[in-house]
Amino acid sequence: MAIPAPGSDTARPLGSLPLPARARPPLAWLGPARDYLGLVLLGVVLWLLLSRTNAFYSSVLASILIWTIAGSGLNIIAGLGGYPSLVQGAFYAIGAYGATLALMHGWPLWQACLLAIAASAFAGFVIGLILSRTRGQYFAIGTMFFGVVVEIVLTNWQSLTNGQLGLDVPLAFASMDQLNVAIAVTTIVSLMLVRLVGRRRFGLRLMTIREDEDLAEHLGVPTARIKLAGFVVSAIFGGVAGVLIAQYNGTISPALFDYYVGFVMFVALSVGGAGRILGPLLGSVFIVGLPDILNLSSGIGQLVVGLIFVVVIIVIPGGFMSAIDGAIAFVTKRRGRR
Amino acid sequence: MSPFLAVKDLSKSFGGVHAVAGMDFAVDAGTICGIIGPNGSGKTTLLGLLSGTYRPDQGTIHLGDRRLDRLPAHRTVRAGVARTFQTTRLFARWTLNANLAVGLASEAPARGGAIDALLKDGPERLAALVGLPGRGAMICSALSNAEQRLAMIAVAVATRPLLLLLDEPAVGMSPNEALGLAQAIRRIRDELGITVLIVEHNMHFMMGLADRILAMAAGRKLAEGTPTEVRRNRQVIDAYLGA
Repeated sequence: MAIPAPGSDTARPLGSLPLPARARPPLAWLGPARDYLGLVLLGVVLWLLLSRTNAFYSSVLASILIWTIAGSGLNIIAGLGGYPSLVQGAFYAIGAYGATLALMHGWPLWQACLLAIAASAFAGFVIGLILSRTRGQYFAIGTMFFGVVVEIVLTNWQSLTNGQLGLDVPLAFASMDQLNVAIAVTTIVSLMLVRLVGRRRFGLRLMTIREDEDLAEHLGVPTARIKLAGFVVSAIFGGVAGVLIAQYNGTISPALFDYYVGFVMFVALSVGGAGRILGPLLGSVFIVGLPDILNLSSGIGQLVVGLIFVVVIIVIPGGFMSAIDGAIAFVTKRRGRR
Repeated sequence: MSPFLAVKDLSKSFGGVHAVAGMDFAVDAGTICGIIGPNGSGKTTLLGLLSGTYRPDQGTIHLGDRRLDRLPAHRTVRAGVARTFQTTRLFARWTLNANLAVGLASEAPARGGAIDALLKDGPERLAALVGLPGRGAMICSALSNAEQRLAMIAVAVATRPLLLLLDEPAVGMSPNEALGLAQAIRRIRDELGITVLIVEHNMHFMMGLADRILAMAAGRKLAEGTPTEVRRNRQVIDAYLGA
């Protein structure tokens, strides 16, 4: 599957080590602060776009950003750890339903968020344990199975979820502006967390699992524990994204959390660039944003998504981020020659 | 005092095949010990048992007073046993230094010896010790076969082991490169005080390097002694020549 190219930003183990042949990035003298400052700026821009554009574009951008949050979680287990999880949509659903049910019982927002985080983390823990001995495509199929299970539960546990009809979400944000701020901030924090994890020992260990799990184990990496932890962390991001989508939508129903969502989240990550900090954002722009902006009906939208996926995997296996790298390298090389 | 490495009645079967069947042996600290034997005699399985790759069906492995045979591989590493593989295994898309950093992050406790002093200033001196000076910034897949074999050893040593297990380290090496390898192994023993156990097909390579040799056949110990003794052993000659 599309696993990151060498020299990609999070694939670079330990920032202090000599890097593989790659151009010195701009503003390198700022050190690690450069990436965080850039992300803060990006957050401000995203917030301005969310709050200043018309309702249609704002809602498209909001879905893109919420998917970016879920995708950032996926980036940890699938991008860094190399485990193709197709169940991120289930954690998204668990977060949405968990927070909504808590709010319906009169819990304050922060408690509802904690419940959503705890529920998705617990689900991640259980699924991670069950699939702990599977790898590669078997892991992918296993995760997809759990995506289906969650969808079936949501549809059939009438007394809790109100089945197909779904639930009306008690709105916990005072205004749309507040919700927009929450979405922008959570997106940027998610991206920063992936950046942080990628440079920590935890991230290094996940990457050793991606590169060669058996070798990692023989170099002292407790692979089972690291994988499980990575999966649980991924699930939490999914749960948080779910809280936000419920608040944004105002209603939730199983149709919103088709098992297919988890698959498309994986597609978005691969298209954007797995293992790259901005991969989920870029991928969501193409996979979520493009069909919405072009106003494609859902069937055609899926076709377009499928087509983008196939073409990207064939032409640029590292995703759009690696294409951007290639373009930058090309430009700097030409400038250097002059 | 208990011996450095003590293996008792160690057995492992795969399906109906008794890959290792009741091995007993001990290795002294600070020696280079070779394990020889024809194809399928259980050498690599034995190494896998020692490194925690496989769990034995019966028998025990002790490193000093520490029992190893029930530990998963990553705990075995922490206990002080590192291994290399028959086929080259590295994080091939990463630099040598990045590979060494994985070994350095192994959580093995400080050994208080030469190895800690060597690794104090990062991995460069270790790379130099095995014969890869200045190669740290290179992507591993760009190294030559022989260099990759040496790099794999360096990465294993970076986990700060007490015992280093090498599975056919000289595979694919020219005689000249094998000399460099032998030198690297000697330096690991002499300068870092690490005990080395080598599985090798190449008798010639082993004769010049090992202090003691253990000959295996059909999962059992056939003979044990100095290289000269083992080479003259009638049973060993028969096993090798199939007579």
